[in-house]
Amino acid sequence: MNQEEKRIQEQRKAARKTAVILAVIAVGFFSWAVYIVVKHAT
Amino acid sequence: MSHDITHDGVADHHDHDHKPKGFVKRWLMTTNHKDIGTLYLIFAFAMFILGGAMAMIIRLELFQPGLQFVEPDFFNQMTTMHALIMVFGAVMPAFVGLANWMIPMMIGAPDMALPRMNNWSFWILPFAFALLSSTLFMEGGAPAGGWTMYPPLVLQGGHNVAYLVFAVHLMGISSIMGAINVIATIMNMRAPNVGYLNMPLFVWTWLITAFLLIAVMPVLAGAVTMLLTDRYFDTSFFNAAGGGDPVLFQHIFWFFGHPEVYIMILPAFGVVSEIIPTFARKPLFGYVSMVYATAAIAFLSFIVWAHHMFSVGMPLGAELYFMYATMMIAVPTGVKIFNWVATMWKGSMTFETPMLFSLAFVILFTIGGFSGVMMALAPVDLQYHDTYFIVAHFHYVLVTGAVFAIIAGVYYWIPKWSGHMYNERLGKIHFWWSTISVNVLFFPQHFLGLAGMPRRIPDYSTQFAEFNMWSSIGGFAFGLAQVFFIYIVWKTVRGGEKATGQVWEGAKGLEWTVPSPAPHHTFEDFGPVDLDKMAHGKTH
Ligand code: HEM
Ligand SMILES: [Cu+2]
Repeated sequence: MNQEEKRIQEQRKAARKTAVILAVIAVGFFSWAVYIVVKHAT
Repeated sequence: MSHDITHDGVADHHDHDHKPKGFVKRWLMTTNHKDIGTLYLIFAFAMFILGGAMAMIIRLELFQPGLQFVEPDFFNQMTTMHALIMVFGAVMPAFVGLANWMIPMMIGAPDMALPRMNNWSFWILPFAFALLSSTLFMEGGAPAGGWTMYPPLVLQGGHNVAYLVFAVHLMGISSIMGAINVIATIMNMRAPNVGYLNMPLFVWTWLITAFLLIAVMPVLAGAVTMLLTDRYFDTSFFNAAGGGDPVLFQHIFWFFGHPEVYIMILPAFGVVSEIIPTFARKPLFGYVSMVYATAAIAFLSFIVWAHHMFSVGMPLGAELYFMYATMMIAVPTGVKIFNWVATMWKGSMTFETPMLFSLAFVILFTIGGFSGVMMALAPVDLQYHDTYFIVAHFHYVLVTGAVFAIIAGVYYWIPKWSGHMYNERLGKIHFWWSTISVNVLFFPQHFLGLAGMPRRIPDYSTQFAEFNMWSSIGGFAFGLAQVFFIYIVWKTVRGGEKATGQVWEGAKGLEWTVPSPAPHHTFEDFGPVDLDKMAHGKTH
């Protein structure tokens, strides 16, 4: 594998990690909204 | 393989313009950021026409007092669907289309970070809007409770609630995936020597917008999910009789809704910040302050939501807090307007169509900002609320704001996309026709609102007749102008004067270093780029 391909792979790997973190944050906001309402309703 | 530091984005050792053959391979299964950008833009255009047709029905009914053309319930369906389609189907996808096309080229990346997810983000959208639009043909018709979907009203429609909720879920998933892609691309895929403070402002505003999307689209999804369970599974999240609270829905909705309006305007700020320096032939004034102002607006957008609820009732302290917090947004917004004007100051300006639309943006968006600050005053908003004044406000910021910026962006970048120049004379006609008619359409609505005409009502008392007639005439003229725009775009794509790679004399940025039309693949080698070619390539 040459330099260039290696960097491409590394960049894509880092991007996937970023994406997973962001997805978790998104799920967090969803849960938070539901939590607020549930807490308020009871 | 060596990296030539001054390469022009297209490696010349082999042909990079091999597009996949056949419709299915090229479009349905595409992972190419440029093709996906094109799909988004075409989709947005189609929704703009559909939503626009609904607006024409609204203005037709409001041409005269009394009920002439449509049933009141159908009128309400039109106002609701018009807003949902324009917000989620036209404006947001148009900006995602611009992001897909331009962001990778602007930062020297070969494509979006997650190309297959990119394909999903787009192809979910047609299903979402097919679901939503299908309610028009159902018994009971489409949702008619307003785009804000307040319970209990929204739950009193027919079964369209389920379709509405699922459609919103799909749109939400689509834009969250799109936002994740934008952030992952900007953070990880920049050419190795491009730092954050070298990025064009369009990239910056989109980065910040994407964070807003990730924070608030899930909140909307949560809220509508609870609407769904209230409707079908006997929960009472928002039902006072069951111990729930309908006002809580409004808080949750506007926690989404206010950042949402900035989701629609921040990328517009980005587009205009690209165009004005090009045609003023000067670098953007106050680049770093633009970045900070964008971030400040984004932050403030999370803490002002209840200015949509002054008349609902809140503790006095809360009314005061939301009033002052809202007024603070005018400060970073003012910084931006100042910087745009300062960029033009002593510039050698020319007035091609993208510049004309950008100038109109600066002036007319500011009018919308002013009426916003007026409504931020809690005591007077009790009078303005739910009148045509607010309709005038948000159409100035959204039509002469967001939509004008999209149109400006299309004129600015279409030579890069298609390889052809648009016809400048037709562009100017489109500009003047749109700008005059849009003001005839929306300016009188300020007066109607101040005089007390309520929004979302198909009939009105006779003293409002004249302004409404003018507003409708402006509306029909504006609608026609956009049909003309489609013709101009179509003509440009089909042929016309060949565009150079540089396109605009004063343009600076990596996207102008590649040929026009931009080859299917650009910046494939992940190598460093020539920072001198970037508008902000020098460190600040
Ligand atoms: C200085 C900036 C702004 C201020 C102070 C402001 C303030 C306000 C206030 C107080 C309202 C509520 C009025 C009422 O319901 O009585 C409102 C409504 C609205 N604003 Fe703004 N606004 C600003 C900028 C914007 C921008 C940039 C956009 C979009 C691009 C926008 C879109 C809207 C929309 C869509 C509504 C109506 C929502 C609805 O009830 O359907 N505003 N604004
Ligand atoms: Cu707001």
